[in-house]
Amino acid sequence: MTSKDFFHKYLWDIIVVGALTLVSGGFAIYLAIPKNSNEHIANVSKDSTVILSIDLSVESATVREVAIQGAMTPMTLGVKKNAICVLESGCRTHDCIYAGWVSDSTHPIVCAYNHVSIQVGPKSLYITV
Amino acid sequence: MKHAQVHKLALMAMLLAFAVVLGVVDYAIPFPFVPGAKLGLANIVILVALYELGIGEASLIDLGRVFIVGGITGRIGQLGFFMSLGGAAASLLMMILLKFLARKMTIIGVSACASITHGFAQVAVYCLFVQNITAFYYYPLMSLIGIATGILIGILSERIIATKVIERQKEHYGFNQPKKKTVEPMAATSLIDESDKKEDESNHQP
Repeated sequence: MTSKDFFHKYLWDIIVVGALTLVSGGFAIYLAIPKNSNEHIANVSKDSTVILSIDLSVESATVREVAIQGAMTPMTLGVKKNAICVLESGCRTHDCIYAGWVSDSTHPIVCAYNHVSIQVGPKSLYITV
Repeated sequence: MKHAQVHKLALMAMLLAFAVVLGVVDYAIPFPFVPGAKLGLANIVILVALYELGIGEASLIDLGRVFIVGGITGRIGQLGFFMSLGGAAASLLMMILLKFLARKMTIIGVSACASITHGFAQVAVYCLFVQNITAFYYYPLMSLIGIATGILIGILSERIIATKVIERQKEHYGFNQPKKKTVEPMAATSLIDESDKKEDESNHQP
């Protein structure tokens, strides 16, 4: 297949998929930019309710463990100065643990298995539907 | 006719088995760092079924796969099951719409769009379930991964269709065949008349 035939055959695929890639990439880059915020409040929510709010700015540099009860299994959170992470969870994929330490609103931690999400930032960032 | 239907049913059962195996393999392969991101290997079977058999058959295989894989992995009734169900239904709907409305798009583009829709529906189901839209932060990254995996799945599906493995089954057993155009009686008589005239003209020529 020549390049002319290739573009003739896949022209609409390239246009549609290319546009979707640009839009998704743009949003991904926008969300990856760290948002400066003086407030470091970690909102830990299970389902639609905030079960724990931790002011990370007053934490010490040493890691403190916080136990919470997820929808399925207990979870252990690690808390230190301006950062929070999930240390232990009973979920299968451990995506929440792989998310690592979070210190701003750029990346929330989500554990779909335990219905738990953790977001750092000012309280106004927490949106419920 | 009945014989053909039995063969079609057997073929559908085989495709469903393939989809279930690929679904279980997909479930077993973790995709770290992006929650919910999967390769979507079972979509190969769904795409092939949609392009080779039809909407009803592809829908049956897709929904059957979701329920059987949910039963095997013990997730029926859990949030993960509803996320899979929502994703499968939304991506199938997108495949059907694009196949019949966007005729200029090939199976690769359809697969990429269905993959993005699958991710969107999964995140939407999660957000509705937990009443919290935090998980949408992952969606742009998930959709980028979805485009890449969707293109890969589309290429594989195109290659499988190109082998004509199902086409040959259809021809051999006589199911899902396109309806043959019947020659209308008027047209047939006019053709005969024209050929007769030509014969007459040639006979009259000195």
